[in-house]
Amino acid sequence: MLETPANLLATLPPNTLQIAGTWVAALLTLATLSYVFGGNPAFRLAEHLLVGIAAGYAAALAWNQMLWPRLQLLVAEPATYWYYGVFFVLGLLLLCRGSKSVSVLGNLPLGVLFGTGAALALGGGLTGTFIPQIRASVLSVNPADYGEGSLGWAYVIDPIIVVAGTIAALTAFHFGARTDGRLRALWRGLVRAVGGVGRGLITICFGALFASAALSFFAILNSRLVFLLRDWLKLLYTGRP
Amino acid sequence: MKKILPMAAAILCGLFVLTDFFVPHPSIGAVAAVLVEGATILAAFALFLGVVNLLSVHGRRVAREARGRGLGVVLIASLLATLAIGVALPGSAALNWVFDYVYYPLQATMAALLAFFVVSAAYRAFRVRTAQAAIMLVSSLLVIATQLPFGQAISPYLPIARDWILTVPVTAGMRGIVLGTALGTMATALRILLTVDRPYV
Amino acid sequence: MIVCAACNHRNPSDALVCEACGGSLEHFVYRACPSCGALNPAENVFCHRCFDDLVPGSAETIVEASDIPVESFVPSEPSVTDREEAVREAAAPTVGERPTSDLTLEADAEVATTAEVVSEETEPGPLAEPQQLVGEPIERLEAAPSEPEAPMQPSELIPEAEEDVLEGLEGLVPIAAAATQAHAFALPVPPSVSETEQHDAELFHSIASERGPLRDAARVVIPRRARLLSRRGRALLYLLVLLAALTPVFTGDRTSLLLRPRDSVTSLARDIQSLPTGSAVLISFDYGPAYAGEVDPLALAVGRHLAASQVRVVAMSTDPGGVGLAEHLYRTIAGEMPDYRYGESYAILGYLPGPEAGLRTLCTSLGKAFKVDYVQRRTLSELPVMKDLTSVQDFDQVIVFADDSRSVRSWIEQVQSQCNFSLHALVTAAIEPMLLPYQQSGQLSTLIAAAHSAGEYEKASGMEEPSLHWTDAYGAFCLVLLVTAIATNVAYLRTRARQRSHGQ
Repeated sequence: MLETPANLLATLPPNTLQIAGTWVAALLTLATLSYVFGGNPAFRLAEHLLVGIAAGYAAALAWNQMLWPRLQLLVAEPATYWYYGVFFVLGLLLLCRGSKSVSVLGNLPLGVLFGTGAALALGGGLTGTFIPQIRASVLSVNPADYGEGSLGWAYVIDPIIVVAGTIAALTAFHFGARTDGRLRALWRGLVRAVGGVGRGLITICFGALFASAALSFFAILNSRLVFLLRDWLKLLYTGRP
Repeated sequence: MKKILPMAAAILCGLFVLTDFFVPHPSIGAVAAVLVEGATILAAFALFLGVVNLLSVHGRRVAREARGRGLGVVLIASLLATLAIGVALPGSAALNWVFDYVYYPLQATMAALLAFFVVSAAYRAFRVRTAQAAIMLVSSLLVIATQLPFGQAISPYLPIARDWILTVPVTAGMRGIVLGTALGTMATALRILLTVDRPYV
Repeated sequence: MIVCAACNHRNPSDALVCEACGGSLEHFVYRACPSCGALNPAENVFCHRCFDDLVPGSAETIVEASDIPVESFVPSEPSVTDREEAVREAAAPTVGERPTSDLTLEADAEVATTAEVVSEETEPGPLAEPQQLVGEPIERLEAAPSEPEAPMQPSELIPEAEEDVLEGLEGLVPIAAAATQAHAFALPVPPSVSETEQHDAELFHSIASERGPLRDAARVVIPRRARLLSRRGRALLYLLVLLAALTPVFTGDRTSLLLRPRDSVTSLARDIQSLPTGSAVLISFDYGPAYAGEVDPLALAVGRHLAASQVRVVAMSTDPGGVGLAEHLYRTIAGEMPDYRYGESYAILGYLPGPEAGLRTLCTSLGKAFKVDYVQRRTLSELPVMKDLTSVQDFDQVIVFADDSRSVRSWIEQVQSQCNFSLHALVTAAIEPMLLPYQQSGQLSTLIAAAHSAGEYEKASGMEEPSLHWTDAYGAFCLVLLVTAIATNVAYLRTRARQRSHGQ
């Protein structure tokens, strides 16, 4: 159906589409950047266009990569790929979630999705994060392991900070609880003190994250300016794209 | 029945997939592989559910002639056009054109805007009102200064300082956060598997 | 004492609003037990004190939250009906990734309140109505609890949240949500319960049997914030940022000559250089166009190096946008090198939905994950480049370009921890700190922040381009941040001095 317009486009002089595309991209870039001056119709248009295209693009990929090839296999060899049929039926039931009257039918596929997802999160979290990270936190704090004399003491500081810092940061996640008694009050005080150190450490992390995020956004801004100056206005040479 | 069936499905699927992590048995592995592949198929359907929902929400807006009707039309038209090109001509020059000259610049510029806002946010965040704010200010400035691409030319100690900040205090703090988050995620996953939480019903 | 579920501040037991954050301490509709009269959170099925049945419809008394004078809060947990309603209206995960969410005005620290935003907004955003609830289960498990929702009644009485160090950074610091996530599991504390001995039972019972709200902490008290910067001041800051970004145009980017590759960059270049001809590398483009401006230059530099080293490359993505980016990059490289052909030297397998589940399938077989490739739509066995490559373990190196730490974590948790291979993460600067623990534990062989690493990589690989690296701009940006820090503190000190003199 769309082959004909595609062929038509192919007959255009070379670079026509590229030049037109660059202009479209530049105008959309400017429309989006206009948000710096506050919300405006051009920005809202760009915003809606983006959402539509992003959704359409993702759905097209999901169809082409996931659903259509498996549907073909199911039709070609139903005895081998029968389980695709089961998941396609579940998928259709999932779509029922879109309608109020039949939304209950979507519970079953959601159950499969949540059950599998939860197991992956639990198994993966345990084997890929929790155990390896705990293991990596077990560092020697014996100066002798890092060198002789004062050298060992100098080098042992870093592992001590890492181990103590990890514990302190974890303690910062403690959940408040009302407790009575001196011993409990003492414990609560200790947890609060260590948690305070942890919160300080987490604040350092936030600082680092903030700086890094700023750097990221700035790099992206640079790339848009390079596009406008080099690719659109041809004012700049910055080597190969 | 409408609750029991999804619950049973969640428990069964979860059990097989979880067992596969710890018991390397070919039969369990085969079942788990089918379930995991099935989950990716369902994820693709969930994406379509989202598209259907998006269309219905904006379709209603257009039909009701509510404010922003024109924008709704733009959204629906761009969605359907991209979907049609993507499905009919996958990997084609037309789809690449839409990606390169519309999707890419729009989304990239949306993110580029944050460069302005992040500085505006810094104006608030860098105000030293508390000890915590002071720590954050110092840490931010240290990290950004030591991240300079030509840092080594200014001082050979800058990259060393950067490495130390990132590999010692930040790693320690981040590990605490990572472990805390992992514990939270695992606890929630466990609650779903034990059907204490049933977000699917 | 009542512990605020949002900020953990301890308040007197009769407090209704948290002294620290102004958050309501009355999150739930409390249900009075018909047997013993104890107050229970609405989610409880059994009484926490006497374990009697609390089934609705029996002789229970319901104390409505509306009876309690709460100043401002957003209801925390959607009821079952709310949830169903939300799921029905849900947007798909990828669609729901609101591309402009980062841009909503809450990201801008200077915007007064979300309440104002809501009231000022003349037209709803494209994703204003759908809620992101359905989709990846893990996405929901890790759903950021701090997404602000529209407040019911913004109140002037809520104290200004001066103490919050992250104020204004909610949308900008990526880990902020994760860091506060654990608090989502903080227990709901009934305000009037004074018997200490009940607490342990309540703690246990809440964890064990409460139908816990996944989005408990979604309630957010949005304090009214004063604008710190005038419109003119903000315009000046924006202008400074723009000037910083344009610095290389005026200076000729001289500092790029001073660029020295970091150890991690040199090590990656050496790893790739040492790959024999015909080796295979799997590259996952797990980033979207939003961060392409940062990651693309590095991906291009690495791609060119791999192509020059005659290494087979197989590309894939767990982000829909990543497929288009991979296609674009490899079209560029193939355009530069006539011998570099699709199907023989490289292939793009395409998009793998459901990050965790999708990646998990890679462990068993690539053919299970991808039935056909993206460009030519041929089965993998038909592509010469895929010879002897059936699972992820068959690759000599795996490189992940990512803009989301969750994606790298999924690679580690679902694939690497099961299959054990060398994993290189080349990520945005924004998420690099979050992955440091994985580098220190040895799970990541390489961790590089992309921002300005392309130039470094080109130098390290000996494939340097006569191009601007925009390094001057980073220096100027650093200065802008420094100026911002000084300016804000000078203004703050002045204000304080003025307040003091007024006080005297």
